Amino acid sequence: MSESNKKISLISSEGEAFEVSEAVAREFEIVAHMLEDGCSGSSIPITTVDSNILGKVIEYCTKHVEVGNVEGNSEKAEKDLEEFDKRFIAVEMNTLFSLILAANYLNVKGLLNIGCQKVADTIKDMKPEEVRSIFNIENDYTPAEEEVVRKENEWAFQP
Amino acid sequence: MVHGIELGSHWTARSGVVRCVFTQEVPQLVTGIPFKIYGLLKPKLLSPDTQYSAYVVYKAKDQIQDVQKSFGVGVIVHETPEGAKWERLELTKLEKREDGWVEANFGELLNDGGFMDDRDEIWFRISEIKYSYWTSGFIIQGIEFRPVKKIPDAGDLMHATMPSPFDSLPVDCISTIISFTSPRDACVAASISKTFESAVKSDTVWEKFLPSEYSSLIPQYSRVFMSKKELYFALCDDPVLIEDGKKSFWLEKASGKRCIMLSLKESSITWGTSPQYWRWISIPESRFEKIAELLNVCWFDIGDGMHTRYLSPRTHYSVYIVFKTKNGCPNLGDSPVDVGVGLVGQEPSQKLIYFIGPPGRGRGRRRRRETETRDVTRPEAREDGWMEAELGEFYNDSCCDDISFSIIKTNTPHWKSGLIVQGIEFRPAKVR
Repeated sequence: MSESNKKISLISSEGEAFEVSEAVAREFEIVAHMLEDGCSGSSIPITTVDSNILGKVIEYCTKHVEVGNVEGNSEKAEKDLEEFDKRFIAVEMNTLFSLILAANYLNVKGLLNIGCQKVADTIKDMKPEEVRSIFNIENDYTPAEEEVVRKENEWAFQP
Repeated sequence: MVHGIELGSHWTARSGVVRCVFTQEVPQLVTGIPFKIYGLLKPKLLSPDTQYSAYVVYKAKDQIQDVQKSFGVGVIVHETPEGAKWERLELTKLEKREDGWVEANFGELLNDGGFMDDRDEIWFRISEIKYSYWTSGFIIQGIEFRPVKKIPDAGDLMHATMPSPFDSLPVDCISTIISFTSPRDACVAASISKTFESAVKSDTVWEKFLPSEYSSLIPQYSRVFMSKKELYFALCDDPVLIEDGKKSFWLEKASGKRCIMLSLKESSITWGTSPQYWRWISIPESRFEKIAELLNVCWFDIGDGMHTRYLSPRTHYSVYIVFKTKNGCPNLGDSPVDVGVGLVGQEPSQKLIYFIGPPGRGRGRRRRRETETRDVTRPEAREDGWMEAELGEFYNDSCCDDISFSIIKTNTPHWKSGLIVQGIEFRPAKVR
């Protein structure tokens, strides 16, 4: 059996099996490392990621592997991939954070980057109070502590 | 039957925002036939990298419910109108404006980095989708483009009782998120919470804001840096010399964009090598070892160029001459000097600057002078004690060009003197 046809099962936290090609599984760097370390089993448990999110991460990796395999018109392929990424990451906030968390754990760099970029675009140009209220972040500074931090970064608050 | 109105419009810039409004006559729809309004505008009139909303600003003389028929409206960037996807506009979703007009949003567009291209166009169209019975009195003031206000979607707003999604992220991830913002955003974010503060301190964040060759610049400092953040601020506050001392390099603090001051040592200065006309001096307040002092010339002509790889890509730059004057800069300080900036192979922008400006003595004389000198850029004092005057602006798209500048005063026969030039500064243009 040739390497590229080898199938690997990724098992979600609910125990659901997702069968993918080895090339797709290797997009998960954590899986790639397991395979290199001689882990020969054909099913790998991903205990911290649920089926919904794991399915999405696999969708992302499958698309990127597919496009990576196509030869020729690379500029167009790159544009298509950009389009795909943009649509892929346009999800509601909880899913977005779950994807970031999964991409971080599974070490899927591309997905981690587009997820973080998406959150970054939201907090850009916002005041600390706005970020706190949108993301429900507790302000754990005492007023005096906050004053110190603000003072340190005073230049950033000036127009 | 279709009526077209080419929008005659007037542009005003207010607080960094370009908006389009009619100024003179406004069209009023007098019959009930289907109509179409279309037009286009150049994206470079709008601010770059900004999400804009387009609004139709209008009044309806009769009750609004009479005019809530559907429109086909659309706005599209960089393509022909045929490529646009037209959306249905509900005029019931209109908003009252403070100025007494009513507006309805009819589309959004991202004015991305390609806006300097003269061929790019933003098309918009408002037309009735189907025959409707408009009463007369629909008055359109114009089409307004203004930046989208960042209002989080209702779905994005969380219940106060829900945990923050940031609680589940490791600090590393928060650092990665912050590294995708800007140095200014990062420093603001430190005030959000203690977790954010520690995420902001991470080298992950500041490594992203540092120029790729930063490690080669460290030896120029006689101190040790405890973090990438510390190095970043050193590169903002203490410029380093690169290229054998011919360029001074630093970063703009808020954005991390690259800035350069170019020494004139290698420039083409007419008579620059003749010590009776120009001399090279060393003064403590200069970044460069040798800077040029004008002693005496009739023919004042400085020009040079630089490769744009030293600057940040996809960035608007302003170019300044940084100088001091001596003894009133005779025969040069008070008269307009021709300056130009442009990418090699393109038409350079041309303008006039003063090194000092004309004296204003006596009322009548001042008035005459002012009309003469309206379009001449006056110099401004810098915080470092030098003066600067803007030579022009350009857009550095890909870092694969040469940028050139010229500073010329050859149309008067008098002997000119009293100018000390530290260099030519390239820094990101202020967004207007």
